[in-house]
Amino acid sequence: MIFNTYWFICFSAVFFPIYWFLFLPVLRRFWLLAGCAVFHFHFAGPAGVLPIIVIGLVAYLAGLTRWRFLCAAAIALSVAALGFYKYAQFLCVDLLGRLFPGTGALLERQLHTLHPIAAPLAISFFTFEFVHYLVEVYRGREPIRRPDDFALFAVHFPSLVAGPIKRYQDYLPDLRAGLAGVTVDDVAAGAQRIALGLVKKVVLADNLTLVINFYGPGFAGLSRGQAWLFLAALAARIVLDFSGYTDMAIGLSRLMGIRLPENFNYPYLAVSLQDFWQRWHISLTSWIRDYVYIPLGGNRHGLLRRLANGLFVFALCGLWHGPAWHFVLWGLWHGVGLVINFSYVTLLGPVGRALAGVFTRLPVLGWALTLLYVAFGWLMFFYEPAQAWAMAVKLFAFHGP
Amino acid sequence: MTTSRLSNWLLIAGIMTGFCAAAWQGNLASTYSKPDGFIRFHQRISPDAIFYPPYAMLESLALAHWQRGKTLVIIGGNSIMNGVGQPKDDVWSLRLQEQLGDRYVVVNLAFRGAYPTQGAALVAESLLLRGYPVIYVANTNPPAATGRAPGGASGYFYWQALYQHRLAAFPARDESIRRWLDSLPATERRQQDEERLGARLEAWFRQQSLWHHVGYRHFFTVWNFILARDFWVPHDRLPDTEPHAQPLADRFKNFLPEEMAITRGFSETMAVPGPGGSWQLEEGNRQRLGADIEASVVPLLRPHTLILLNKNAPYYLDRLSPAERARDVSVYAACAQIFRDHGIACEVAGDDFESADYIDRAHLSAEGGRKLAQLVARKLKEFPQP
Repeated sequence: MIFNTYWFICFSAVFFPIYWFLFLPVLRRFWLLAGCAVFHFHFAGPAGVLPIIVIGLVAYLAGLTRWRFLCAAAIALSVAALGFYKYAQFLCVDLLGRLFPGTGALLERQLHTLHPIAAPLAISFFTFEFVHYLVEVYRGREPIRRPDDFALFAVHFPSLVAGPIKRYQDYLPDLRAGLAGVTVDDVAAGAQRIALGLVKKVVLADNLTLVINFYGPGFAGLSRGQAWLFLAALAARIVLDFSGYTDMAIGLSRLMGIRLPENFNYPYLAVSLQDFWQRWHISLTSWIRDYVYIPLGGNRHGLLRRLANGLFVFALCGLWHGPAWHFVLWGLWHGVGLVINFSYVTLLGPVGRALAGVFTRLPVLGWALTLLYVAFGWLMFFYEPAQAWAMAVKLFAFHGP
Repeated sequence: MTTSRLSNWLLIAGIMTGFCAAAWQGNLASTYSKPDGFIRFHQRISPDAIFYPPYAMLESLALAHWQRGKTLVIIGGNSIMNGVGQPKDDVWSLRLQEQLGDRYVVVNLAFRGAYPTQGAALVAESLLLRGYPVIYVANTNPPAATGRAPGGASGYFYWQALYQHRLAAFPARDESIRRWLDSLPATERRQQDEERLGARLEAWFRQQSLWHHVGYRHFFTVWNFILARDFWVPHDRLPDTEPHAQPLADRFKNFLPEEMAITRGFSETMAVPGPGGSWQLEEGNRQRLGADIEASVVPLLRPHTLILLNKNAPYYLDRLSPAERARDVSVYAACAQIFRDHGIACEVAGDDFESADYIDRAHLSAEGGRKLAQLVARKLKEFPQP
């Protein structure tokens, strides 16, 4: 967690007052750029900054030319970099290694000579923002002309580590508005949002993390009631942790007069899985919808294609969270849930329509089912498949303590 | 100005005022905040329970115990000196106070897992610098040697004492710490940098002092498995619950192979065979211990320090082969001599202890604590009066 480190507190104590008192937008622009550079360099180190500079430079120059071939090549480079830094080990060992053990072992050995110990900080977020930018330019939108605009879009420090994933066409007008002047309303709103985020993250989520880390290894020995409480803690922790971090990012940006998109909208109040994904990690969901799901055909080619597309993008969404099978499984769990959500009325005929009627009349039923489904998904998100399965069995077992 | 804008101005003014008030309260707390009826930092008011007493609290405690005309005996070191294994009424430092009489006041500032150069050592150094009559007593064992002031759960005391300008100028220590920091992997280095920055801010804003004062008197905010459901309870309501030792027949039962490996490890890598079946300290270890002392125990403190080298329980020592036992004895004797050669009084503690004096391999029972108190009192009375 970066925003509650002493380093970041000191950084903020210097950065924000100077930003506020620099009245000229051009000075603010350069101060913000310097702040973003210092922040990124401090937390990512030279080995983490260099690849981002290279990929960013390629994305910027490719966009500037507006040549579709170059944009496509830059997209490929961004995705390849993400694959190399974050997924190479997974692809070689966990995927190829299982299918073709000899080739997997060979690739793994090669990888150890080439691969850095850790991926550059926030490479997933960088990649998604660069891909978004290049796809939009590819589709004919105006590219970002000014290199400082592009740099600020790429390394805007509040959203650097955990999003929200920005869209440049929304970000740039907000950036200019923020640089032109920060009002006391912005600062007050930002401060309140940061306070909310800190309480969610530091007071609630971090304590729940300690509880979960302590009781998790002994889950099998918990009573049924304790096991359900554990599941509730798991579900509460991730929403408080992630949305708390997002609150701080939005609040910090607002202190500069720059608005970032919302990322959460009370996801646990969702009455269906579809509704959940319109409220959870909104910037990621909309990114996947716009740049993967719709290009794959989206809803346009019949039910089967729609279902296949849904499963694929959710597997991808799972994989985005980390290079491990349990993330893929979590994505597929949600993909299957959405497939059921989309198709049960059509597939079950009158029964499906009756069921839909019940859910309409009793939204609390849909809410409870959705919450339960999402909570079980978190078992797969946090634990290896076998362990997640054992935990789920314990929660529903009719015997035992 | 609209009502909304006015309220926003008031909010910002409130945040700034609140920050100043918190810093002011923190500075006040750092001068007086300390545990009531203090005997030791028992587990529930220690880093084990995520309660990290600020350095200022240690000094406040020491000074609160001291009375003019008396010698302040500050106890540092690890869980053995903290009195783990002894119920609160039988902590060995209470027995030491009885043994020493009214001319001395004893304050036990030892922490589980602490080195003799951490925490309490810095308080002793700081008070000696300011002319207080102090004797410092701590423990270690041959492989652990003196340790280093920063690092580990008690390492933050060093950074806080440093930035509160409590420490003597000691270039050898500075250089040793600089080299250690440079050798750390990136993540640990970042952790140390963060601890150091927090200590710098503590010197100004006393955020740790305030938070621990609130945690001690009002409410705590961090869950931990030791307190579990009571984690939020003000820590002044948490009693010292160190249990009585188990019956002797039930002790030393668990993890025998592991404990034997540790017992052997105290001398195994330290000594080499000498002439006539004897053992001598391996030269590299001899030099390392000497260099550790030179780089971590400030010269000002050395004449006022008693280091105890704690021996393992006889239950384990008796299971060593005769050669291993001889090796153990010679390593302890050689290490004690190195401390003495560097101007630090040093005693091996445990040569005449029995199984009943221990609750496990290392920690002393109330009976063992009484023997330790007698040994330390005898040695301290030989110290020149400061």
